[in-house]
Amino acid sequence: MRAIWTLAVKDLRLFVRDRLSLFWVLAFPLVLALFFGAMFGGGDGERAKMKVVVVDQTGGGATGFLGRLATTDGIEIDTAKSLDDARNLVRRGKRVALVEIRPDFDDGGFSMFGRSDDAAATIAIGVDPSRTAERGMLQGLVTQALFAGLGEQMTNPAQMQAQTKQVRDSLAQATTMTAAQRDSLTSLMNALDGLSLSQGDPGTASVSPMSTEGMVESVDIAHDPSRKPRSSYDVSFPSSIVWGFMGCATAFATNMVRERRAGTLLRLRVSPLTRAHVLAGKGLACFVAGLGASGLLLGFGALALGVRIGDPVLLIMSLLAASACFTGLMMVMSVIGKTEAAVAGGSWIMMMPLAMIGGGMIPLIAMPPWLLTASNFSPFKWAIYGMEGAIWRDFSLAEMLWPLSILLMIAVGAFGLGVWISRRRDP
Amino acid sequence: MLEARNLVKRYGDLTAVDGVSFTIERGESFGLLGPNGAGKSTTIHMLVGALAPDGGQVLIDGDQSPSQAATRRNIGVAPQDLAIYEELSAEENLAFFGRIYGLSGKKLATRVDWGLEFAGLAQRRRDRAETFSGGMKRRLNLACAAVHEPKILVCDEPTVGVDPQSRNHIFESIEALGAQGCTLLYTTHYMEEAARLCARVAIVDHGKLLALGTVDDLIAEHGGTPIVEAELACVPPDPTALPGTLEGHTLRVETEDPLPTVEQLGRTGIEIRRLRIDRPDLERVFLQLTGRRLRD
Repeated sequence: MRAIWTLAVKDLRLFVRDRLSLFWVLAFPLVLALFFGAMFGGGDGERAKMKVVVVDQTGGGATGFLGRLATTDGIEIDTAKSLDDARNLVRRGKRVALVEIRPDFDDGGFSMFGRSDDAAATIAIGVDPSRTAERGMLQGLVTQALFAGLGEQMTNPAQMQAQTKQVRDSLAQATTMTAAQRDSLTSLMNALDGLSLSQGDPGTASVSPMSTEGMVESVDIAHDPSRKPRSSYDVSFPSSIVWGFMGCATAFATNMVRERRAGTLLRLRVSPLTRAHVLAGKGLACFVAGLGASGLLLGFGALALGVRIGDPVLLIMSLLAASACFTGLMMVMSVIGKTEAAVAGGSWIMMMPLAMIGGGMIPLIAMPPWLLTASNFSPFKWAIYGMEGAIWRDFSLAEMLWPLSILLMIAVGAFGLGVWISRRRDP
Repeated sequence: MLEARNLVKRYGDLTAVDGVSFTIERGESFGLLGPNGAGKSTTIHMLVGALAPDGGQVLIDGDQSPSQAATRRNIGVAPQDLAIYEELSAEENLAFFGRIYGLSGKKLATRVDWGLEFAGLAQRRRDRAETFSGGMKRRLNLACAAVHEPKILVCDEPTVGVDPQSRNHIFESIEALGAQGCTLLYTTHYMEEAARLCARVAIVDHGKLLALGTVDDLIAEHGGTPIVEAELACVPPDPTALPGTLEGHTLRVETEDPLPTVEQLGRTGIEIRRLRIDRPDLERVFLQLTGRRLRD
């Protein structure tokens, strides 16, 4: 064990003196964590709002609607003078979308009994072609603002009575319905009138027949609600720390080839050490370096950005498993090529697709189902999943065993494969 | 102490080492002399256990194999490549190689100090190896091989690419180790190094051992006689009166005793523009054995 530790200390010394390796292991993941953390809302937990430009062609008739839209979560609006101005802003990428409120829009003029098929739309939405995923979200937010107006109208007796009066007048002039239909609808309008008049009676609760308020409630999915992400950095740091593990694996794989080329590996091979000692020393150094780097990154995140530690025991377990996994991968990387350049290049070629499908670059939630299935084959996914489980997914020990087991299986399999190839190549 | 028995190593169709046998006695300085690609390094790799021979065997201290850890503890190897860690200091390199050979504590500290003095790097003990000159790195490479006081020290071309000052330092260091009783196995393609450092020399080429013996024996057996070469100002009317053979204005005389020959030439009264006495050496031995020069 002393020999292995001696080898590991030597390799750790070489590692910390290699500035390029330190960049990939510490600086690069930190930049990624800060970048993605800031991009997804920064430290206050607020997601980045969609910037939308509005063109109001009603001449002031959409003030209420605009007010409701402006207070909607997830959207930030400003106005343009003309539709051309708004289109140009979206086309140049300065706004995500435009909302055109056409001249015949009437915030109080909802049709209570549906719109005719040939009625023209009074609101139009245009979205940047590169952000089509947000079209549905914007439509939902606009509809929400419209229905909020309808809800307000239903709880306002004066507006309600004006609306029912308008409908009654229409019914009186209608020629396409039977007398029985007209009588039934007139009775309904009278009942709505009565309901709106009672809104002002003392002791009577305010009731709206169109209100959806309170129907949908947000609930916490964690066992402990206090464990949800406090900021987007809670999400970005686990993904970025995996890049630190990756940087360690690449650095030590390259170092192994450098030893072979420089002749120091020959010197170790003719010493009393066995091949197992040498490989174990390399593995231990890579493992410790990965743990150290992840600890430094998490420590910085916790102290400077308030990144939560979650369950410290589970977090340590997840870091140990992730570091072991990438140590195993290091052994495979070290036999990819015979030169340092070949190993460094081959390692990135091997790991980049795994990082891409494993959530190291694009969040898993943004992936289509087939890519999510493919991500199960990426160690990045399980390393991130394990850390998230400890930090904010509120995993129990039993739930944690699944990602940890997969990471350890990859560790053992990859290490064994690397040693086997190395033995065949250099008996 | 160290015995190579009919060693064979093949790489595909190429036989890099072809039936090489020799024995090195305890405390002896033994040289493997041959041009680049002769099979010296391959032979050494088999002797220290870094390479398994395809045929033959290596025995150390009678019956021990170099593949055993206990045997390896008694061997130090200075590879032809600079096998040191450039990012570590001289002191850290020596300490690391001392530790992997089992040194620790005060003994390790003492040996590290010895290694720094041995390499002439005591003043730069904390400087990283990457800041050293080629000669300093070579000296450190050698010190790392000797830091654990091996009984057998193997030096594979230890003076390649070094300046004359460092070369002398390396020679003196190796001679000092030899004087302390260390058995030395030295490969080189510089005959003067082999002549200076090695009591016995094995000449190898194309993987085969061509000759083996002391430097003097090899020269006596394969070097031929000394040659006196004189460039004459003019050819005498009767050249047959001159000893040796005359080609143009150049007279070549093979003689066991060059000085009387020179005196004889002087007595002829012929003006001699240039005179050279070519004594036989290992270069000539190699030329005689292979028909080509060591550096060809």
